[in-house]
Amino acid sequence: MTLLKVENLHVQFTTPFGIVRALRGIDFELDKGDIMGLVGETGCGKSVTGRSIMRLLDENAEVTEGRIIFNKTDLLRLSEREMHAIRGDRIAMIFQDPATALNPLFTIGGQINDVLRAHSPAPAAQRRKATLELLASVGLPDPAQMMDVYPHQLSGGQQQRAMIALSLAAEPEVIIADEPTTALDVTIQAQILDLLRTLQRERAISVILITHDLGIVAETCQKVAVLYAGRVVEQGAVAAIFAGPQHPYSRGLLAALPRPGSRGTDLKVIPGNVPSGLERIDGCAFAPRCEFVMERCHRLQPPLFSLAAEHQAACLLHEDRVHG
Amino acid sequence: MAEPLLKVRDLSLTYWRRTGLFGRGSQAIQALNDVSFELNAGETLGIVGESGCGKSTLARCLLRLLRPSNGSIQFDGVDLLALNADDMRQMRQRMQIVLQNPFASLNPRLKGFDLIAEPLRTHAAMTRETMKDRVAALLTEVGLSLDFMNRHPHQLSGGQAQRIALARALALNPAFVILDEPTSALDVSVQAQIINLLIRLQRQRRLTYLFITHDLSVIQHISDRIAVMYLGKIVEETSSEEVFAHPQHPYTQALLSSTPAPDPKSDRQRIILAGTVPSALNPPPGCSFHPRCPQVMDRCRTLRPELRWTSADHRVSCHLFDALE
Amino acid sequence: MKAARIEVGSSVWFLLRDRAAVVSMAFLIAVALSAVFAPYLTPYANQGRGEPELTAKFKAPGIAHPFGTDGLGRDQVARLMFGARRSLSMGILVVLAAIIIGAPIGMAAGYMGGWADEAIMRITDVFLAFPPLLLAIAIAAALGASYINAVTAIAVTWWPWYARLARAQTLSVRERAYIEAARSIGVRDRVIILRHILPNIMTPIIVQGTLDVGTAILVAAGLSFIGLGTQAPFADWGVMISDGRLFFLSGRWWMSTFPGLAIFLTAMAFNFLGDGVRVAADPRLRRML
Repeated sequence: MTLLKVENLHVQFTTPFGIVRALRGIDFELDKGDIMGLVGETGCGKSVTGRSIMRLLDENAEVTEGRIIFNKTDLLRLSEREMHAIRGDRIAMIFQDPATALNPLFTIGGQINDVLRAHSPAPAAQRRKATLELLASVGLPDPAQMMDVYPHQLSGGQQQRAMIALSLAAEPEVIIADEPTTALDVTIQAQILDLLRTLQRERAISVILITHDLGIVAETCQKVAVLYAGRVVEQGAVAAIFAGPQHPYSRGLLAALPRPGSRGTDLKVIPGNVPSGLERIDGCAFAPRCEFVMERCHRLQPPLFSLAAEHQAACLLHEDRVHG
Repeated sequence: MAEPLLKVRDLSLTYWRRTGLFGRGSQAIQALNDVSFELNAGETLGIVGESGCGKSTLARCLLRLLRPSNGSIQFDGVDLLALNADDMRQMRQRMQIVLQNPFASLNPRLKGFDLIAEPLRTHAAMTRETMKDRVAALLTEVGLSLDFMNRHPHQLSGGQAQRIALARALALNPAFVILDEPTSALDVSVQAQIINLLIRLQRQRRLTYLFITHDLSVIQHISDRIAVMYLGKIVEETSSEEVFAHPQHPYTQALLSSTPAPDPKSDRQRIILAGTVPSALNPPPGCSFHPRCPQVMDRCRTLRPELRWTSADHRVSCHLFDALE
Repeated sequence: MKAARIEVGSSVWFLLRDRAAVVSMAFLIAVALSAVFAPYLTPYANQGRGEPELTAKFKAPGIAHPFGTDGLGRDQVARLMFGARRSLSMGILVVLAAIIIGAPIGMAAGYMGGWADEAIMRITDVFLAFPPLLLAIAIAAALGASYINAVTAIAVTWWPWYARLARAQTLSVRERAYIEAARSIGVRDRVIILRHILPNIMTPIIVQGTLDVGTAILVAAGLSFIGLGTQAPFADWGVMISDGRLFFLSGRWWMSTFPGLAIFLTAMAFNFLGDGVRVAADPRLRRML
């Protein structure tokens, strides 16, 4: 069942250098209970997409087109007040750097308690019990003691766990995790990803996992959307896409990764650079770097073609394979 | 066999941190603990570990940017720690470092030409014309066009900036280059370009690399040998193939299993370590990994394991291998 | 000649988009030009240099003398223009001297650290413990009343601020990776300080300097007001206020008001300009534009 649907989302930023088109028509769907990866390199628009859903874009940003449908309502049409009731409450966000996302002046327990109080009118004793349960459920050691510690007294991994507990307090349906483990060590990253998987399994929470790391997507997500220059170039089931990427960009990305046994060989390289959002792009944004480029690619912006039940790619190479 | 280019013996570094009101007390922080290894000319040694394991401290000690408290560093037969300041300055021509974030390691006020020419100016007397030729040749070697001479770092992409940093490191034709997470700040497709370039340069110039990273997939691609560090110590060292095929230390095994593989079908068992790396201020007694070790035994809690050879090219520091003696 | 192109997104480009800063800059340039070209801009250049015109004492502002005349009949516009030469130059000289003394000392302290740092900072503490104006008055009085002694006195009270600023900046720049990169190449300390540290700490010092010129003009006017600065027959704005103060309540309001306004507007303009430079030079603040 589709819980959240992003349709043809366009976002642009007004900067001193001109208008930067960060998103140029993003389409994807998040099913209930899934972990969906948004993956891409710097500047592909993955974080902007997350912030657009939360309506947390900077002042110089503007959504020029598109819809974000969540439970039949278009989030982009809600008043700031109506959005406030959704943000944090039904869609929560966790960030790359938990140290700056947690309030340094209040204890972890106090911050969770505040969210619980705003969320439901339960008596204090019950809220305390709920806070303890939340802290335990994210795997923080000694929850009773964690009630009274301040964010700076925790390690990075513990801070991220606390941040997740905080985002769970309002029992959201969707969590948007923006590079939640990028600032953490590998063994700690494994812990946090394991926690996300557990939460998804046990609480049926849907997660949008924004990351640059294809390995994280492979190990954590059911679905994935690969972004390039503000558009989805390929999406579908993780198993299908990693087994047989159909867009030349996703194929190039996967081939560029060093893997066990790759020593002594040259890594595959995608020539050229990512286009800046300032340039006007008429056809496929990847065309200038693509090894299979055709003349039409420079003129036609390819839509997402369905290749299988759960696999779509935006590449003219697959034009003739469209069904339906 | 020829003498190794770099011989490091029992390298230790202890910081003293003042504590208490007015800094009366002091606490020891063991950043490096009896690190020993050898590195042959033309080879790459990968050093892998998580934050706080001492890998960057080790790099800075090797270049004498930090003074180790103990041990010795022999570089091409010369005892680095015994050199006076002037001789060390001369020696720096032969050993260079490339740092993680090129935008931080390149002075934002200088242009490409001045950045690459700085080592030449420092160590070699040459005319501006010769210098220009040298800089031009270096730019070409790292795959940049000549107009990068006139660009400031903020006009570069991450990959271009890292190429400038590389050209700068190569300017004096060093024998040995330390690469401290040179690709960690880069995107995947750019990372591949830089790794290919590093390998090509190594072949062409017969460079010796010390490659520091937290990323096992990158390190296995580029290294001949790999040393795994934990809390200031080398816990395992062997050939690149062997680390992946037969990791012996439980920490190495956990590290391998924690590194996300871009392969959803892989059914490898995940080892998820509990807890975090302990502080070097209060290292646990015995084996410093024992509080997180899934295979901990009684003696691990009290007895410090030695780094011992378990086969001709495999060293590990773990009590599980005591019986092999 | 090819017109200099201003790169979009550069600091200068941002500064030119800040209206308050641009208006302030225009005002300051106008003041500076009128000071430099005063002899050609006023028919009363001699009066501006101090020559009395006793037939025209205490004239109220009018067509012939828009800002009136003073007790010796001198045209106030001419006096203000010639006064600007001293007031502006005092403010700028004070700040320049303070930077030239303070910045190298601060950089040395910050780069060397240890006991040298400790010693230098304790010395600045001693200077900063005195109320600055009082210290300046004491020094100026000891040196004797004159334009150059007033500048010296104020600069002596001011350099510790720049020493501290330069030290704080050096401490942060010293930890940057490019400093370590330079050391690893074997670049000498002297070159590191000149090539890598100095250019990267100049921005905050220039900002502070711009903000301080206004204040320095005020302090210099203060010294002149009590007779320790510019000496008759020359005038600066502080002297003019001082000359006019006795007549302010007896209806000759123009004598102190116009130099007062000149000081106020100039100080304010330097503040707006300094603020503009600060925002333009700091990428984190630019977003607010």
